[in-house]
Amino acid sequence: MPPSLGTVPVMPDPRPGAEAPPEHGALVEEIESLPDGRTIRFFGREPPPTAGPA
Amino acid sequence: MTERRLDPTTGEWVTFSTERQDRTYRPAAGSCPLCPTRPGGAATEIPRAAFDIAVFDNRYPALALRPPPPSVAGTALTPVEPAFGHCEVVVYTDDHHASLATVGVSRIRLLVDVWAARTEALGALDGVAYVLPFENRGEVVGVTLDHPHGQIYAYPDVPPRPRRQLDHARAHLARGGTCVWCDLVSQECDGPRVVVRGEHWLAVVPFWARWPYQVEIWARDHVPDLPALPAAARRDLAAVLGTVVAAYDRLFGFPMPYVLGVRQRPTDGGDWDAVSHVHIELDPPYRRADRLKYLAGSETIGGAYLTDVSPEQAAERLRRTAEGVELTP
Repeated sequence: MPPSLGTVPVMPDPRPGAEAPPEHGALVEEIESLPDGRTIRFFGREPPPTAGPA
Repeated sequence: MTERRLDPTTGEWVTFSTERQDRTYRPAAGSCPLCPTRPGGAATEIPRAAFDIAVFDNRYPALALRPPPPSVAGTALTPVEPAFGHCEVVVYTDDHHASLATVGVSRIRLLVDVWAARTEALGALDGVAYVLPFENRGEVVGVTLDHPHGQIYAYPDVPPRPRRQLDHARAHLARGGTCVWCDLVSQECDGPRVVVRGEHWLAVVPFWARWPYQVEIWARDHVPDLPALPAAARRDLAAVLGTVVAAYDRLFGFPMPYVLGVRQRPTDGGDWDAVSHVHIELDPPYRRADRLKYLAGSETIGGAYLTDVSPEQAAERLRRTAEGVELTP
């Protein structure tokens, strides 16, 4: 019997401001045409909601 | 010349795309067509200075949505047909030197979402029967561009390996009423071939590994394809996949080349839900750090694989290495 593996270890992200959960927001897709007519799609995340006015 | 010809001795189609002979071949890092277009720099394939994931039509596609007519006339014995389908390039980082081992769980999670979104979009096209996301990494597996990237092919039929697996899964279901992959998850989950055990995914060196350090990542629940994965399973897949690739690199001491692909439910409208169980296969070609595993006579001519490393040994080495892997979120 192998040792218990538990969950996958995830190291804290050392980058400043990276403490927020990383996958806020829905998948965002932007579609553009390349000069030769091919299609390119850029995918990212919808930015996290910003706090409203105090 | 772009067309598909049938091998009547096996029933398998072979795609010919002679224009691909002229595709860009291993340019220097400073001339990489998959890097962002930097201000003041030469235009690349990607007209932005920064991006998370870019997906674009392959400049040299083997399959096309509007393919040209075949260059030769087929016969009833040896048919030929236009090479219908679609080929996309998936660049999952704008960092030329990154990899799935270093981009972090969040980026791989985004990649899983992109795979799922493109599976849905391409699978909905008339005539597309199967969507295969894959990545080739490393010169020894034929990569012509070093920038980390994968591809997505949309086929007009179910390719031979998935087709054979689905046929066997259907036979297994008919015999015992269960999914063969679910049965494998149950059998292997606490066994000696586990590499990483996530909450939703199990990475194992399969009992039958064809490559010395082959790893398969199986969904622990019965999910037929990427679009059907719930959010928690997508996040877990990102962590398990990143850990496996990082373990390869750490165990071998260099960025391990591999062929990676996702097998999932065909999109031809058939009754596949009970027999399709989404999983990833990674085939690295090394049998030790200084020796490649070649497909020689037995494998190439006979289709009968011989391997030099026991799956249990490979799994133990990878598992011990994976335990020390720390991914960035």
